[in-house]
Amino acid sequence: MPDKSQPNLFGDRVLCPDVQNLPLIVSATSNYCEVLAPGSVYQPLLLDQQGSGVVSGPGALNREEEKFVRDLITYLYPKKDYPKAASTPLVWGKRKIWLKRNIEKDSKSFRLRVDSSDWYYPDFVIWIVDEESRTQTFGFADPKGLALGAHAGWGEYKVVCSQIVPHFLHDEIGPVTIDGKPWTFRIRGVLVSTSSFDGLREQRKFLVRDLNDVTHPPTKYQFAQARIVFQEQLAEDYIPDVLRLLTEDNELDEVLKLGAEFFGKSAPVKFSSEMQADLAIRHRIARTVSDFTTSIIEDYVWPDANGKFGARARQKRQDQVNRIITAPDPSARALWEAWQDKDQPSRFILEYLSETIE
Amino acid sequence: MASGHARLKKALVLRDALAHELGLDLPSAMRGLSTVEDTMTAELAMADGNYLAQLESLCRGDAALLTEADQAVRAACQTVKLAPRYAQYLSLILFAHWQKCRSTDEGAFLERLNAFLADWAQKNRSETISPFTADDLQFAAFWMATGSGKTHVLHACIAMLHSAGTWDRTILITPSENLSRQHADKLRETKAFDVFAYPMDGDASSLGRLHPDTVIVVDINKLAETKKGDGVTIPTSVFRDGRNLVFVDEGHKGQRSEESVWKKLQSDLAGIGDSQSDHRGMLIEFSATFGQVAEAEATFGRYAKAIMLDYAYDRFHADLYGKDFWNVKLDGHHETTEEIQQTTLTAALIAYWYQLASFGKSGVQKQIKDRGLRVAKPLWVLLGLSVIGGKNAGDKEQTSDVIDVLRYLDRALSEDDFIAEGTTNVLEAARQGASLLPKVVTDGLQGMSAAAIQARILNDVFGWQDGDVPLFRVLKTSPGEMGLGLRRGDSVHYYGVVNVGDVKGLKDGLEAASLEIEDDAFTPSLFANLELANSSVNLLIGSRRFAEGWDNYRASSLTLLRLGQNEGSLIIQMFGRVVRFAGTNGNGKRLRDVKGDLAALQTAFVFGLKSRYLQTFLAGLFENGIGEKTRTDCDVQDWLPETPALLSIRAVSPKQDTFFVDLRDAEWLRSVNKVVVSYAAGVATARIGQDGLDENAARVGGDVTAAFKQIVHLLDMDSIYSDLVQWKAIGKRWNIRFDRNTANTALQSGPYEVWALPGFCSIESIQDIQRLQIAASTVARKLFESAYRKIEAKHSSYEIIGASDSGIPSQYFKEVTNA
Repeated sequence: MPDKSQPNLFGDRVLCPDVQNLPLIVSATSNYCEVLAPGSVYQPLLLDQQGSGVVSGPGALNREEEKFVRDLITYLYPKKDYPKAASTPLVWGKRKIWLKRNIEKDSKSFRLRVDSSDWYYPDFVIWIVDEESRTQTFGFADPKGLALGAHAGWGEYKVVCSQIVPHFLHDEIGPVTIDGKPWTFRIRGVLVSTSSFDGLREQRKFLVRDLNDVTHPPTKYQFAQARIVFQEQLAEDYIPDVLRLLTEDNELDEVLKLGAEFFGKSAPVKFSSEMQADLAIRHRIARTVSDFTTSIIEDYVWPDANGKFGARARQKRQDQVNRIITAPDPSARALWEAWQDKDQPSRFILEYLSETIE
Repeated sequence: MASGHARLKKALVLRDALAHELGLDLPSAMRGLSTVEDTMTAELAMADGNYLAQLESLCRGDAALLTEADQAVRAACQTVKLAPRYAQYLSLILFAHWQKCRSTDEGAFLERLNAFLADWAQKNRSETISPFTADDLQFAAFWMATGSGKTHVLHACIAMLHSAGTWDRTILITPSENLSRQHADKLRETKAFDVFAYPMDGDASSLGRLHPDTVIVVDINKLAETKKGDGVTIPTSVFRDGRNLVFVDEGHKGQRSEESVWKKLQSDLAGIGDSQSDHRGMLIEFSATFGQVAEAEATFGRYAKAIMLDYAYDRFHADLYGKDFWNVKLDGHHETTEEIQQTTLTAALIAYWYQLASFGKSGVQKQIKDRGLRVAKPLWVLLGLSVIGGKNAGDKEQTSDVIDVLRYLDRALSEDDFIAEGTTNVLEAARQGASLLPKVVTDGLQGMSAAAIQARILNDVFGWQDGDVPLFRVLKTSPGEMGLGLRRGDSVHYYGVVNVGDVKGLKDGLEAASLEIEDDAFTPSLFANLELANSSVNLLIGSRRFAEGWDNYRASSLTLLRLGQNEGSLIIQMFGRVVRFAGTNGNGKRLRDVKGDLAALQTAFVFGLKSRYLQTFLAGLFENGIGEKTRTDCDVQDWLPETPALLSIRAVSPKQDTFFVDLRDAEWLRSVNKVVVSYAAGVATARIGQDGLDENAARVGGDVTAAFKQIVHLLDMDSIYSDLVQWKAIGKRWNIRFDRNTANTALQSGPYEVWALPGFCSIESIQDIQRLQIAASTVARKLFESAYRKIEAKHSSYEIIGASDSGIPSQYFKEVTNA
């Protein structure tokens, strides 16, 4: 039987510790590679102690990942009364939170892919359970450096996987029951950028468009809409955003949810709303899911003067209509004049295109 | 696996045994002595007995042993006029004690050493060192960083051993005639020895007539077991009878198989293991690089039982000796060699110019004077390992590298914006976060345009004036030298010198490269005059002969041309040349915490071309493990809740027979994601920081897609198609179909980007075509892979599973490298 007493890692023998006696991840842990992380579905979590002469695995956390877990726990327990007993969740109001370090390159782990990308293994799965409303949020979060140089941007596969791909999954897995009862199973992701806001916002492929097609660096709020938050020094400055994004949808999510339908088992053929029609046009033009998502983010997140979301998308279609009806084809103008819903240019464009093709 | 350096440091059992006998804790002793030296200078520390007083205060044993050793060291130092630095002093103290013990009661000493070894082995189970034998007491070694004064210690050892007993001969073996000359001169300066340097002081027949105390200085190349031809080789039989005291400078030589004959020869000369007691002499080796040679198992234990004290580069540098250093290596695909070479040379030129410009500022000169620093005029040294112009394969490659450098210089001095364009690339790389320049230089260049930098470089480094024409001239007065100059009317201004092994070989190479070479019958040696205050030479291109015994403080920037893994020891010596520093009033130390121009002058800038070894070496210097790893596997505890059950999602890849990828219709290119193929170069930098080595890596390059698409039609599509068919077969992708035209269409109009250094797409030779051919195959393959993955992803599915099946590990491991 191995000795299970807590050893000094740098002593003569290297033993398997009793996890209950391990230091918490929220403590100063400089000399340890194993820590107890309250709320984790398995223990211990491992820390990558570079330069210490200790290598551990699988899934040893780097500094940013370690900070993320620590920040999540310290945000939820500002009085430091962390739950240390086995199989005890973190508590967030009336909800329970469980955390899993997701091990990469293991086909059983949670993974996603889009277009022609490799598998993407987000660093953490975060379950947020609301028993009262029988809602289980299957969240995933990934603290990552996003300053990926000129090749990155809204089209980066990890970004796309955190935005639209969860909606594809909903379509595929259908209704969910737990213990024989129907539950709402909600899949959402968030990227926690360890690259600075200033470093990221200026990158060309992260720019967004205003009403007049002029590009702007996005604000922090707009990055958050697009499911990218920045890892700040203090937990309270970003963990609430992470939890909110996992449990609540914003305006952009609603657009992406509609957009995902075009890639599902039964893509819509009739478009009852202007937004759906706009997305149908984008779907026809886009070569890939990444292109499709990028075009939505670029055109939707910058608000107009009244703060209304989706300014560029609307104006873009209006401009297109203007080009169509001023073209030499007189039938286009006639069609537009007969068009009842002048505030729905996208639907008009689709109608016009289908008639033209026929 | 830890480096030989780190491993050997931990296994120096003789060092530990000697310190133990003297009642010393070595780290405390070194700290204490270092403080004494810092407080009062080495001269006073020795003269007033302060080193000894310090050791006595730390001694936990019989201090009388220290006093006895100190007397021997003091006498030897007086003989050779040495005021030892603390590490020299401590090495000599340990050596004096070893020498006394072995000469007074060898048996008892061996018993004590082996008792210590048995105890040591209990605590160091990872190493197995065989017991000490009488033969081990014939061999001692000093492991001292280049620049830490091992030559002086060697001479002090001669003095100590001469006064301790009688020897039939004293032989000092050096690696080259040049070093023999230097040793002989320095020994003569002490006026304590008769010296015979062979072959400069007479032929082999003189050897028999020398007084036994005469120090015979000879280089290893002149020694052989048997006489060869009529040349200067001395057969070792000349030294066979009697007890020889043998010193070997640069003692690392002889570990490689072709040199192992030398090792045996040295050992035989010293009579190690000789059955006749009156033939049993002593062998003492000195080197900066035992750590690297001890990587060979056969010699590891031998050195562990022979090294007195390790004062290798890490300690030397931590004691503020020598310059700081900053190292960068630009490393790309072999397809990009020429661009990388040019970019690296431009960065090295800029960095060197910055040192030269700093040196020339009056404000900096005032600081140097006020602080008592001795700083020589900076010199840019470009070094390779082989003999330039030589005939073997390595020499030919070396020659071609030198010709590349000469071609670079020719363009720099004849094309209008050549340096400025290169500078723009280097500055752009820095802007992208991949700086090829040390921060002190980047900061200093703020606000300067590339054109302004070029103008300063041309003026300061080359002394260039309007109308000058670059030329290369063989100096007839100085064999093996070629001057790098500028023709100015009827006169020539020399800005550099190449040290050539075989002028003809280099001449042929230059002519093949369409570079003209002339003769100069009058100009005296540029190399010999490097140290003169008015030397206009700022650039030295050389080969291995500089590494050994080139005694000059000017080298400030080093560019390593071609270095292989097998050349480790030589690289370290070259490194030693450029980090040496005269310091304040000659104390060899750099100033702490200086910034700006002065920092540039006490930092060695090292640029690597085609070399990875230097970085491995630098990392090894600061590695402290002994390489033994202990792995433990432990159980993971499952803390999943029972209710409500947590659910997860599993992605399932499709079976290969459920989908088919047809690329014969170009339509597939419309929906495939853009692929990026990068031939950008890696930039790895290293400098010594507070906690050891700081290393950084970045990449540099730009988008050359447009230029690439323009040359696609020149490539051999059949060959690219053949590569792709091979890729399909190797990956068993039987469910993908494409034809010859697929690759062509993909390359002409596919969604891809190629990133590389400027010039990647230019075609001037067949090698350029081959390089681009490989790149094109890679682009096409990546596009095919992308299309394949896309179809595969479409057939992937997701399903709900219990969280307990979601890849929670059942075990984890930890692997501890023993500290």
